[in-house]
Amino acid sequence: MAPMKLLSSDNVEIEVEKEVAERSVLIKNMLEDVGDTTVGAPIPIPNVNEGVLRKVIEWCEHHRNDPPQPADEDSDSRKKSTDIEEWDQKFMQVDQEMLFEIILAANYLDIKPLLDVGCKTVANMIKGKSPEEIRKTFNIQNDFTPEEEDQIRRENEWAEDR
Amino acid sequence: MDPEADDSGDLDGLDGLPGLPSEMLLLILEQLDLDSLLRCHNVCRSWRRFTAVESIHLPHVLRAYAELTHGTRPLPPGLDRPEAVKQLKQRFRTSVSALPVFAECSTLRDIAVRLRRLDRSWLSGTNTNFASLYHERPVTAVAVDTKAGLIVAGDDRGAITFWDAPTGTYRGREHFSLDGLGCSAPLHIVVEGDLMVIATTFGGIIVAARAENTGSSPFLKVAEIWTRSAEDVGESAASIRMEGHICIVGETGAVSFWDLSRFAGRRFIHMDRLLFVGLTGSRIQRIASHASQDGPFRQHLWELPEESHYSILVVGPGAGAAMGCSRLCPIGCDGGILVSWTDSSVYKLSSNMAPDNDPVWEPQPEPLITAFSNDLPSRLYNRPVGIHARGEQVVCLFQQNGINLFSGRDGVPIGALPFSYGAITCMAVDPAFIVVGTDYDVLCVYYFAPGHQTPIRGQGPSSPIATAAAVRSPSMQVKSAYKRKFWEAMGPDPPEGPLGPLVGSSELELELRMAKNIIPRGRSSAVALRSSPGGKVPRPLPECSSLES
Repeated sequence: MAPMKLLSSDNVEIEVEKEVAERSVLIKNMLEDVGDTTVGAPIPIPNVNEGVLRKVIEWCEHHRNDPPQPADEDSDSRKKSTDIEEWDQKFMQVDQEMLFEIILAANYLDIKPLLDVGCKTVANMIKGKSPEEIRKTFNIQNDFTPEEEDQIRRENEWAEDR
Repeated sequence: MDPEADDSGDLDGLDGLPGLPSEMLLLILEQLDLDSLLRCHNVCRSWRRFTAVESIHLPHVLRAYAELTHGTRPLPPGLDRPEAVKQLKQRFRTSVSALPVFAECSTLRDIAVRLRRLDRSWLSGTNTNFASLYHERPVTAVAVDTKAGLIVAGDDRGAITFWDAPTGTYRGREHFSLDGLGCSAPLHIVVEGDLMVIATTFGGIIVAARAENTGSSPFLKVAEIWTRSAEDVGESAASIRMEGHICIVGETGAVSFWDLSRFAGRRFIHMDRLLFVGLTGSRIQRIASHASQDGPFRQHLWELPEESHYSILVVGPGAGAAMGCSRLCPIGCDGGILVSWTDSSVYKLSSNMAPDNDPVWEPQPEPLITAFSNDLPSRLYNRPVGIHARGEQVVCLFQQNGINLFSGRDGVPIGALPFSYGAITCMAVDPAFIVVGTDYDVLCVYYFAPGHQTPIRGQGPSSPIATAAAVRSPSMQVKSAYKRKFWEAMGPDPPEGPLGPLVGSSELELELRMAKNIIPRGRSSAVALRSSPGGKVPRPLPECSSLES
């Protein structure tokens, strides 16, 4: 297993096996573009800091042997958001800031399964909550005017039990 | 706020979740169940914009649509998302319910909100309003015309009465007679699109098409169908069903498929996946029909040999019983079936895909709904009249003396609708209401839509029902040797003998119900069958247009 190095945005070199790093489509394509001869020089990942990058690599190592994603994205990848493996659930037990950073990093590095797990984790934080609870969870300001609140109540005549 | 905010490009720069770009929030919202998604609409202004995006609601609304229609009216395959959204909205506005529940919905979200509200109403087990429509004669068959918003009911003298579904207003009455035979009580009525099909006690089946300016009836008779066994032994249809423009008639020992597209006032409707399970007599038969994708429309008739590999006949206590008038209905949109037996127990058969793509219905050993009572009086006087599954959530069991609602998931009772008008003889179900016909001359309508708060009493015409001589029917001009001619047009009998198993290999592939590219599910709902060479007996279609001369 060939080792290689990634350079985080805060200039920390992290050693990682090539096979693990290639879970990222971005890195995989990069390596294919430059050819294997340049392995040795660290690959800069300018959008991801050390802490997040280590976390992402941890995920990639655990999932290094996962089969590739089915190509049929539209139908099969939309599984229920409760379908998160136990290991992934534990992995995602981080503070909100870190969770969002992982999602952003997964998006940037193009690691679709990790992006999915991240989005599902956030979706599970939204599920079953009232709008007020959602605002509290994500620190969102309620910016409706009283008139709009009134309108919402009227709209809800269809949605709520009476 | 733009209700048609369809284009997620508008969302750039909106701060949905602090620290996440807007497309990430969309990805997250796509993972939500419908209830949570609807609630997210009221979080803040920017979330309103996100949750107004049509494509997030598409999978939910498509799923609900497939469940309500049991997968029989799929959207054409291969639509892109905007087109699917457009067509789905159009269908909800015009043809899903006979009540104007969805008429003013401009977005999929509006539709989803109303669907949710209806679901809650059904799951509460209590109707929001009730209408009793005085029909003047015992009702023998009832149907819902979702396109025109009508309740269509037939009585024991063969009159068909049309009622306005939202208001319970009398709209007209018409006799549809069989040529040379006169009026006969309808056993089954089905309205699908612009066609109405009436199976009569005499055995003949009347086809009527929607027509303008016809006075008392929005439908005009255009044809008659006589199935082979009705002609030979005078038997009447045990079940009748429309899938698209295909009329499927089940009788004891035979099932036939009839292409009615030429009567619908429009050209070919795309509908090439059919599979139907009908109860005919005391036997359950599996029926499959296929229209070729390319050439002209073809149909074939299969009859299953007695030793069918379907074991569903043994699941219930009604199997083999003399009073084996069990009822069945589709549940969900994956080909699942509910069977109710004479003791009112209900069994669920889930359709599964065997490795060789052969659909298999797996009976669950335990009943979904346990029997009420199995003594002789209740079997005689409290027979199941019909069964209907609303989505997978609610099962309505219609017995002679009442309507009971159960959870479709575990069979737990969720309510009983009050009923006090004699015995229930027939039923029909709309996404927003239930209608039952009674032998007490009354139609009872149970509304599940909010906005219907006052009880309705509908009254038919006080004048006596038109006598047969006064009946206006275009078919009166048709010769009395009608049936003979009909069967001449049908051609010679198919060869005798068993037809061999359906499962085998040949070029002909049959698919069940769903456009699999539209419904987002982990498991494909398409089920394929293959027929063996020589296992099918093609029957030429009768040239029905010649009958109108």
